[in-house]
Amino acid sequence: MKLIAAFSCLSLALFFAISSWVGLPDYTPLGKEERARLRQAILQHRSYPLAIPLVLTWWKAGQPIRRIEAASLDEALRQFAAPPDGILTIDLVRGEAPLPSLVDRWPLLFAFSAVPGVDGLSLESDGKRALLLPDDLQRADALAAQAPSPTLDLEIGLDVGRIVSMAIDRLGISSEDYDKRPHRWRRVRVERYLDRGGELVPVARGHLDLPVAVSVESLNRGAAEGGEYLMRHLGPDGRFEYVYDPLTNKVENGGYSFPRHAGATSFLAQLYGAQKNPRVAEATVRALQFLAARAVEPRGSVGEGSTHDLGGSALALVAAAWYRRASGDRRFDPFMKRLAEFILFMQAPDGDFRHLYRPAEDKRDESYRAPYYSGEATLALSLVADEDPRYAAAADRALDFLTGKQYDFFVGQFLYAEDHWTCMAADVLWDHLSAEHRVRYTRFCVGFAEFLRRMQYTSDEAMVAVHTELAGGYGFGSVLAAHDTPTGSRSECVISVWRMVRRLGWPSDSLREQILASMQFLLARQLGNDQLWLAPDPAPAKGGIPLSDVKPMVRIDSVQHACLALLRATEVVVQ
Amino acid sequence: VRTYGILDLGLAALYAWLGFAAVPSRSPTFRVTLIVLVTLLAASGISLLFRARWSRHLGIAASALTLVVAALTILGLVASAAYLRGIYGPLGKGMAIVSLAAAALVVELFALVPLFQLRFHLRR
Repeated sequence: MKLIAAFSCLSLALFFAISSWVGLPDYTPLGKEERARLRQAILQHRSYPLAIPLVLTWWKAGQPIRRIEAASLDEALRQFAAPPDGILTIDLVRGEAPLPSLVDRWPLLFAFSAVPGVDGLSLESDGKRALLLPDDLQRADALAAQAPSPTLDLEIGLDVGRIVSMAIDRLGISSEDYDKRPHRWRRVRVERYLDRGGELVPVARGHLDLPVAVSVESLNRGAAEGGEYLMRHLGPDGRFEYVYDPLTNKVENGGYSFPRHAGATSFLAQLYGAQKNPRVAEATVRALQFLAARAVEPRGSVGEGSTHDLGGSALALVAAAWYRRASGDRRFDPFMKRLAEFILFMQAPDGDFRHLYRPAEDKRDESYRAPYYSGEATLALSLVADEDPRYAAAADRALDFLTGKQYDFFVGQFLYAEDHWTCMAADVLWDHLSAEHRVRYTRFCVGFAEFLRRMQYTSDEAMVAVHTELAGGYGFGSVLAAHDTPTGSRSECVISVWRMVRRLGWPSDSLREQILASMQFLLARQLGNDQLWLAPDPAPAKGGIPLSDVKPMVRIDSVQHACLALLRATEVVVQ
Repeated sequence: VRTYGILDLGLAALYAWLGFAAVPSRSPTFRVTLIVLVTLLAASGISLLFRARWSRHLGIAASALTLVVAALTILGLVASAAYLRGIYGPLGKGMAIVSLAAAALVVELFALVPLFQLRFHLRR
């Protein structure tokens, strides 16, 4: 017992010793008046007693045109005669802590040695110092580089190679010198502001940290801007620009995904249904024609190459069905009919679906399973359930499987898979469901929403008290920055659950709070002129939703999920 | 005695499978330590099963080494958690649950049996 007690004490002592060695002290951010005085002092070039090391940067077309590092504001003022023309950002250095020299030997340790988007890093060698601010790291795309799993759509941890090479470039030393000479890395905590609209606005992880009003107007505006983004990035042939990087003004079309193309199209169709903008209808038709042109014999499945995934066809049907609901235009009816029949063909006897199909052999892959396709196929059949009772019955059978047999193993009682499509399908299929199935599916989806709520950052958490900008997002601790696409898709699902719960007269307040918190999170991330001081050309990025706070690239599905959530949340706000 | 013999053999097989097949390490130190541990546990298991003369000494050595490995693993986990806590601040509920689960798994996999076994041998 004594040994165990001694070991516990040793562990505790080790914990506190290490965490306080690498930790940074708390600080009180500048108040509104202090910020106003600081701004005036810089713009009017007059003395102000602010004895905090700081960096002033002026930006033009996404490039730093002047950068001043100083130990105090007065020292900074002595370095320029008049403020240059450009967008001003201010980084106040609020604390520094050494990184252990082990980071040189263990890149993985280095990768998790700074809070991405919040901390900077400095490298000291031979009496010289290179300071890399969060903006520098973001522009170098060095904030999220490690992919823990090829199947998970996320990257975490710093890009150590890029950071080292950027720092030694700034110091003007070679990599051999870096290896040979003594050097030291430090983590630097900065308090950041952007000069916008006559005041200094706090910046958190690459975006302005301002309270955003969640209202029908702001949600509709956000959705419309998302639609504008997608239309701007839709080519004459109906293909989207898949990933747009605002910081490099470049498009990446590698790995173009048909399910994501169809998903983005379904958002445009629903946006047209809600806002009746004829340009949106025209864009939806063009994007649908792109899909219809890739329907392949013998069964009309959508795809390219020898293997078609179920998701591309399922979401093509979802998009076409939403478009027909919104417009009454029946030109895609034959395309839809074949897709619905194809999905029926892909359904397995237990209600689940096969996920891959080889058109040349007219053969289904009986073993491969992907996370989303079954839910997407169920939603597709639910949307055309009025057309044919077979579609309604097949969708009900799929829901029965996805909410029941799918979890029929011991660990299944404790967890959920990616069930957001499932719950959206249950909401859409409602009128075709028996009373017993309505209750059963709703109970499952309420459980899923509660499961998601446990992963939502809420203001009563210690972590969110430190990083207030995380509130409303979904994630897994501060090591992994909250991602915008899952926050959007999960919100879409919770909105469906909220609708189902209200139909049954069950309590819905906690679901509403969960949805509204996420809307605030998403609205704060949507790219507008104010968020784009690092972009060479802000115009193409406007209305886009970045992948995450540390990955500013906009992919079509991040806009689809986030902006569809914004659009559908108007119903929640009204209630 | 035989129960501990069977447990030692089972644990030796489990650690060998974990360390060489399921999650093999690239570190030579790790591999050498694992070889020593697995060999010692297997020897202890066989000696306990056959009630060999030196079974007590082998059992004590195997349990003590397993406990040392468990203690070092837990200290490693504590150091990692402390480092992340120092860098990132409060880690959030998800991370806290994962850390606790990892520590509990280490205690369960590496520490429980050797603790009881060591107590048993020292009282013999």
